[in-house]
Amino acid sequence: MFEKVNSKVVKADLGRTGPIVSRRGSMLFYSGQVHFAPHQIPGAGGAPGGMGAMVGSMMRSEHERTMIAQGNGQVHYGFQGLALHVIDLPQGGQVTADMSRMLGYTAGMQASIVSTQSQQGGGGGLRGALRGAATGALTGNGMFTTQLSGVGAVVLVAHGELIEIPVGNGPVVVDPQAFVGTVGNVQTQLQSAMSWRDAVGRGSGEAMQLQCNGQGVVLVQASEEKL
Amino acid sequence: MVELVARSSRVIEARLQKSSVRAISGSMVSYQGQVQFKSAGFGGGAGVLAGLKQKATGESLTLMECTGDGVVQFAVNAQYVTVLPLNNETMQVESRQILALAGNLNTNVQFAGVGGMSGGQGLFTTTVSGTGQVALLSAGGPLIHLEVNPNLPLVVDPDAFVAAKGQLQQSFVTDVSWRSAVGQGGGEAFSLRWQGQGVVSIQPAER
Repeated sequence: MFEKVNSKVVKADLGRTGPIVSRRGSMLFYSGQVHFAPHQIPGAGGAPGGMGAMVGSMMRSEHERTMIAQGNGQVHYGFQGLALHVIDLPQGGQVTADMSRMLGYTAGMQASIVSTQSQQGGGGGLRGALRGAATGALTGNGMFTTQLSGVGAVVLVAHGELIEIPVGNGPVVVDPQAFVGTVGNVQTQLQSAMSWRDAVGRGSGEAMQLQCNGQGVVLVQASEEKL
Repeated sequence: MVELVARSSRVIEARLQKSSVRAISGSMVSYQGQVQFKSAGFGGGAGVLAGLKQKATGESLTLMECTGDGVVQFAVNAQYVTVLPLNNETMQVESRQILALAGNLNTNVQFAGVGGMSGGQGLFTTTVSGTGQVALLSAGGPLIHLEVNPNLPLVVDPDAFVAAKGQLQQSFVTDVSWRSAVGQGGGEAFSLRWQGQGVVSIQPAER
């Protein structure tokens, strides 16, 4: 699918991969007959009025401007010199990550914007949304995240390279700032590891933690820097 | 026993079996298993004196202790990582380049130079001594190990220096002549000079 040229550049041969959806501005160069057109994830528009509008605007912020490359040729992608990580899902499956982390994916993948709360089973509706907003304020991550499912390949960006940590034999706990996304059926839940001692300034610096449960892989970057 | 292993070029992993490892506060990126994190104080030795030393020297080494049964991944700012063994030895390290310490290791802050440099760097050095593993950070690429022997002293940029091990004497080289004092200097006002027998590790970037 995507071929790694080096740690920061990937190449896609559209003849083999089919159309590629990517973040706008991520194309480095191409050869052959390739056409680029704006692209929109369905459902990212948002409804007018009231609470729906608020949620809608948050969802729009989750939606990065994307484009689709079609035709016959080779396209090279890269973004701001960040490390790239390719995830192949030849048998189908799902990848969940913030849209800002997604450089591109094969157009055959099903893209949807999901609430991080409903994914956690934290309850839907207004309360879930409010809790999500509070969670987002703490972790710096939004309350909506992008899920890609089906057969294909996804390219993620990270500050420093990514490591994959399998989940299955018990939970994996991640620093929220180092968390990039998940592959497979993985639920995330934010928890506080803060005690009274931490509050008075003798802490280890690991106050908030993200617990990941389920079956799959957690993607962690070697840095606590956000994108 | 604790084992430190490089999980990737920028992440190290500590494998704990009812044991503990010390690492820079806030450097945990993920963990599996039963692990508790608590503050382990400053790297200048033990007790109140260590805190005072830290204040006085500006060598900022705040550690946390990770104890339990499991696997912990550490990384800082996507910097490269190198694990070095110490076998009843002493190593001089730039404190902000330490990522983790495993085994029977002590840290201390030593006065390492005289001459009244105003650069504020290298006057005090953090030392790590004992037996165990030290994980070091380096920016710009993996650590570069340079051998020093009595016939071949080594001069390094203090901003690139990371660690030194062996029978080594450290001194400052000042290149501040009248010309550089009036602003025509070569930009390398102070250098660290190493003499003796040992290995000096540098990073391919300047802080």
